[in-house]
Amino acid sequence: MSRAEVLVGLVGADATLQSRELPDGVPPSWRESSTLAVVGKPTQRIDGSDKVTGRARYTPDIKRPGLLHGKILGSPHPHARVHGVNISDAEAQPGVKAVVVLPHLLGGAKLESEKARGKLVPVVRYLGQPIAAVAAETPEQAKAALARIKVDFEVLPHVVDPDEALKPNAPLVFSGPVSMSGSAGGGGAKGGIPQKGNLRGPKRGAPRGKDAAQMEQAVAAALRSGQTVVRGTYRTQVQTHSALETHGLTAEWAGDELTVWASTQGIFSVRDELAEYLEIPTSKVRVITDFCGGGFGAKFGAGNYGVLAALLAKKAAAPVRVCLDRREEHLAVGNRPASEQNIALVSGKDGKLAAIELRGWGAGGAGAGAGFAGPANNVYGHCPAIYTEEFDVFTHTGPLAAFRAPGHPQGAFALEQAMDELAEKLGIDPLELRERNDPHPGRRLERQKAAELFGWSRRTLAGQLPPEGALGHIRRGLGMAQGCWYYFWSDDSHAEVRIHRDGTAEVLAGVQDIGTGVRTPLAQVVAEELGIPLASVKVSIGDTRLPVGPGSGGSVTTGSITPPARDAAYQARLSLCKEVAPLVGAKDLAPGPGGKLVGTAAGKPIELSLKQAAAKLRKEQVSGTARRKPDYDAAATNGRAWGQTGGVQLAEVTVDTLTGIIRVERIVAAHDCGRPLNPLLVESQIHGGIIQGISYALFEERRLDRRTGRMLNANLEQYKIAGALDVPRIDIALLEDLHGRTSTDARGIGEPATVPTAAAVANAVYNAIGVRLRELPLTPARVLAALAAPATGTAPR
Amino acid sequence: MVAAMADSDSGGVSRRGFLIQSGTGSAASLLGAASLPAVRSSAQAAPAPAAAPITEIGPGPVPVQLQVNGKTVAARIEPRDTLAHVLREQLGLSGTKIGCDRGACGACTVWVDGIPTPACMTLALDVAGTAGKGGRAARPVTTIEGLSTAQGTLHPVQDAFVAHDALQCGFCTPGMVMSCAALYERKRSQGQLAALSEGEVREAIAGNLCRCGTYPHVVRAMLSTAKGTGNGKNGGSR
Amino acid sequence: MNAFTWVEVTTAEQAVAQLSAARGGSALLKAGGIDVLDRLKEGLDAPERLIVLRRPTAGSKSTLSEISEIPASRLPDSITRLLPAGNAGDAPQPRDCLRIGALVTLAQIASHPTILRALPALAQAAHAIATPQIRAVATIAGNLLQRPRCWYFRSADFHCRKKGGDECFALDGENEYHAIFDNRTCAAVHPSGAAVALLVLDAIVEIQTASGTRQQRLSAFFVSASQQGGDVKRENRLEPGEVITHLYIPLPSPDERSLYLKSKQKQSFDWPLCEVAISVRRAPSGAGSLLQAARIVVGGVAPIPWRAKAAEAALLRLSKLDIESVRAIAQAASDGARPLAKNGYKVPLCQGVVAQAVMQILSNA
Repeated sequence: MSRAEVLVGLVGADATLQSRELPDGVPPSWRESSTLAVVGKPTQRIDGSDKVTGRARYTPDIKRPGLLHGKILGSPHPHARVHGVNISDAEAQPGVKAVVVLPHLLGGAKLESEKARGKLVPVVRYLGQPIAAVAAETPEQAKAALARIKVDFEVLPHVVDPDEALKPNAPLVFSGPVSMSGSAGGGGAKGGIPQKGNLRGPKRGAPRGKDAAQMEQAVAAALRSGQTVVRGTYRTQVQTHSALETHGLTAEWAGDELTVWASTQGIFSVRDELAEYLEIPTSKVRVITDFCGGGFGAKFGAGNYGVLAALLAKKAAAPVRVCLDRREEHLAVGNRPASEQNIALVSGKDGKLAAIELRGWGAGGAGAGAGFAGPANNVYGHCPAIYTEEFDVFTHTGPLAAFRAPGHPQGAFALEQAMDELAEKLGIDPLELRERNDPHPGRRLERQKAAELFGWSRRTLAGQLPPEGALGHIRRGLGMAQGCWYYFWSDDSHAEVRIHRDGTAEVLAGVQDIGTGVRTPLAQVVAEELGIPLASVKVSIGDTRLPVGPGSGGSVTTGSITPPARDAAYQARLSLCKEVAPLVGAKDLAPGPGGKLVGTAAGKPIELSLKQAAAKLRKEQVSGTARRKPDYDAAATNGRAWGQTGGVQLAEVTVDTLTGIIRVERIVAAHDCGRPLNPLLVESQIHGGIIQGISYALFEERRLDRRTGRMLNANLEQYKIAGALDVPRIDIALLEDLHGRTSTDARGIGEPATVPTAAAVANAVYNAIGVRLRELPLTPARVLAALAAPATGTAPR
Repeated sequence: MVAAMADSDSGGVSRRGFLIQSGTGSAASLLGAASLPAVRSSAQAAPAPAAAPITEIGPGPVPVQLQVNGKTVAARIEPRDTLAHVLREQLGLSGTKIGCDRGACGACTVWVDGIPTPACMTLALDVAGTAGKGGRAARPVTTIEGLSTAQGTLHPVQDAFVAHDALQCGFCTPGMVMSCAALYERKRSQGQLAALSEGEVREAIAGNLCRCGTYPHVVRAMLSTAKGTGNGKNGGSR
Repeated sequence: MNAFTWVEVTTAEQAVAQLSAARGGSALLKAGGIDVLDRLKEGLDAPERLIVLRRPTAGSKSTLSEISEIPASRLPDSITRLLPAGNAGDAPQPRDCLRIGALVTLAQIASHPTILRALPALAQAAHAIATPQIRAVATIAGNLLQRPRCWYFRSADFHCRKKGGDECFALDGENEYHAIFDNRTCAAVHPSGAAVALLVLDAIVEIQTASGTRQQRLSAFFVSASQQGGDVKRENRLEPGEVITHLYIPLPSPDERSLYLKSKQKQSFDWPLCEVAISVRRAPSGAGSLLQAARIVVGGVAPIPWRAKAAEAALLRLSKLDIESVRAIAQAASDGARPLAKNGYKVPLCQGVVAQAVMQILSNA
């Protein structure tokens, strides 16, 4: 340990030098990025040309000699008991090399009693639930053989609608208490929570460090206090992840060793799950992910498709590829749960929040879907009384998976609309209301910057901007919302950096690129530390043979893996100094600024570039390794809300009151993510978060036929995703928010960018038409119904 | 990388399937007695153009030629095989992606006759050439692999995509690039490149879904490359 | 997709012969193939023979893949007799027409100079369909003949009336995107945007039959289950074995205007919630009313493109353009609507789209 001066705060605002306790073996802390050569500069992706030329190999592109094609038999019923599966006819079909039955199901909630019994789960709880699989020489042969698998189903009554599931005599999804394991992307539900019918809960929540029972009483007291109260019920829909590359895995055995190519956000979680499921040593499983065509939270673990691929490959003694089709992707590999949220805000006339109460349910199919209380408990955490109560509602539909900022877009949709309503009721500007309740320094600056960029002063009260269009049917509205995410990291993140004799370097880290482009910031931090050009750094990721890295979820990747990468580069420099010092006669040779090695030889100062020093090596390379250090000096908070990432978005919309069609014309987004290592790539991710948020706000919804439980829009045509013509002008203000916690000070941006968007759009729609829509998506049907309804201010259902 | 053409097949007739070109006079065995006169009489009734011979293929696999990225390659395909499937699985051209397999996402976009086309909704026989008497020439197909030169020089649109980070996970990128490069080439051939508008770019990629949301950078990349400023190395988009 | 035999033809006569030859087995005609492939992939159709009508190879020409102007002097009588009469009771006179071959793509239509200039409703409708990639391949005849997009019909899991079953699952199911008119037998809406435009342009369809050709007004071509001669399993009067060859569209006189508007939730590739085409002919000044002829056809609201006759009548009575009158005309567009549980919004939507179309065409006329 040693003390050092570290720059802490918002660069260009309140950043100051502070003294911090630094652990041993870390390089000196960087100052603001304008003082750096590579880090913090908009930098094109080092693997960009692979992606634009089609050279980048994704899981379905992997060809192996003798590759077979696997197809999965999913249940055609949403609820059934399986009494038997006969595969012999299927095995005899032309081209078929193996048929297997899934031993037990991964994903979703599990009955405690079933877990105890282990192995086979004889109950189908959602349509599309995997039952068996076939590997054949061609995909068509495999598909044809699926029809020859005979499953003895006892079809049971089902319920796919949460409202129906809550009725007293609804068919039960689970006959007893359940729990659900989480993934690196979140999710999970502990056991021991009351469960009645299809309703499980409550899970009682309060801000960190507060007692839920006390908070419940405090909220009740505030509600009785005679202060201003705003109440509302908000509903959100099921959204499917719909990564453009479906889930998939190719498995190949060599003796007792298994190699898989997986489309995943977590190579190590795939490895561990396969090893556990197949009861083989971890060391015998290798997972490779060169490129992954998007995950958004749904691609952790081996998946049932992955297990089936491995089992088929074993049985067929040949490599097997199982890649889902678009329909299976919608049905069986995760979604963002639906929610109903009843929220109440209590405030004094001065706009100071006195209480926040949130009660409601989340419906994640055959999984635990609650988890939307994050914004309520954290964004206005200074509010003296906050209490949340959440339930899971089970239905016979595919289980949820973590989805980009799990729970937060839902929670923000309710909370931020309620704040908007409160602002109107109190006659306070919505931005000012946040100002009075949210001291987070990042968001404070973000509100200011966003408002300037946006021209927030144009905003009027709802419905007061002049109508546009020949029939006066176009109404314009402006709205805002904000959100939070958390500073998570995985300390089990390791990197190795090798410096070669020619002055080039290699960084090895077991992370994977899900689209965020992690290769590039890895190369940047190493290039910066070593003082060499970016092109001289080779990055190897996406293989479990590399040092263990974090799963790419929770916006942890950059903040977890770039510090050890820089630290390893620093360690490699130390090694280089040690090797070269005797050769140049400078015993004190040590790392200096700009990647230089500095010391004294024969009484004179000498300075070597990395390339000069490496050229003197008498061995092939020097290398350094590092593990992600705990955050520096955890005690030194200095009043900074360092555990939370902010984000403020302002939206401008038009609403065609004749057709109900909403167009988002502009979003201004102000965000912080620690030190933005590569603003160009950060900007890409913010665009993505906003566009997914608009898509969630206006278009996306899993549509089910209640009678049969079937999904009606399991495609990319009627499951509507925003395209290029649906995207507004987007302007971004990106803060440089230094925390002095790690050697790179980086944090993730993937999740915070999507949190406030739907709420900001909804608030802008209210501002345009003066009617509040409290249910997502904001469809023309809902807009027209709301405009036609008597002015009760409640949205149609 | 190119599947071998079945060597035992000659004259376009394979053992497993069959591929027969027939004029109106030689179709009897295929069409059945009832249908033959109809073909004859209708062909006679049409003054112009003269009916080309009827070609009957499949249902089993048949050898064909495809003209892909300027090369003629042999493949063995069933009538039901899509172009996307044949490119990916037989010709090793896996840059063409399958996202929805229904023409809704554009990940499979390739050029046929120079025009962006959904390869998942195109049957390979739609573009294939058939051998033998009465056979027809293959239609030129360009995939993402054919856009850059063999020497590795990127198309200006590819360069601009990299410079402006017009890609994230990259799965939609090949299709997105094909749509954009077609627009670029069309505007260039019209001498209108510098006049390229944001609206034209958005329209051109309206059939290419990007789940990561790269559209703004795609637009930026296209506009700057059209104005000749797209190939800055680092930080080109600032 | 099932395995099938590919039968390639280059003339409509050959196609008809091949379709009729397939008796005892099943045959399906493919042109651009977008809708056909969709159906094959979903398993809705499993033909033994796919009859592929192709453009002839380079060098030879075919009217099937051409757009050409046919001067009145060369217009076949079979077309002339189906043209709208100038005045009631008069015999129709030959007019300059545009002939569009069945294999012409939507992209060609959307960018054709004559269509852009003289028949803007058609160009706008063609441009609004699907994606650039699909428009490059999809043909005009295929667009008219594609099967409905009803999600119950499009899923092999639902044996609905259109497939010979005995119920319409949409009636008490998820019917947000379904018909508000004529919806009690089958609530699917007609999918063709081009049809909506062609109908206000008085298009005539020419059909190859086993014995020759026949011509029909497009307005008599589409038929719903409840109409005379209707069959819930089909959307039009094309008989099995017949093939569309051409469309003839009278070129408008200088006092005629048309336009098409599509209301879609998403602006990039979406089916219409409601779409409308409108054509009007100005009345001579001093006539009392603004217009002497008007056609309004609404799509996305009925099993066939829906002629809004009450709105047309109201539009013809219009003597001056003001917002109140436009709203009254729009109101009439939904006369007779009987929405289902979840598509009530289509009533004001239909009115709203018609109002915008009326306002726009009269402002420009």
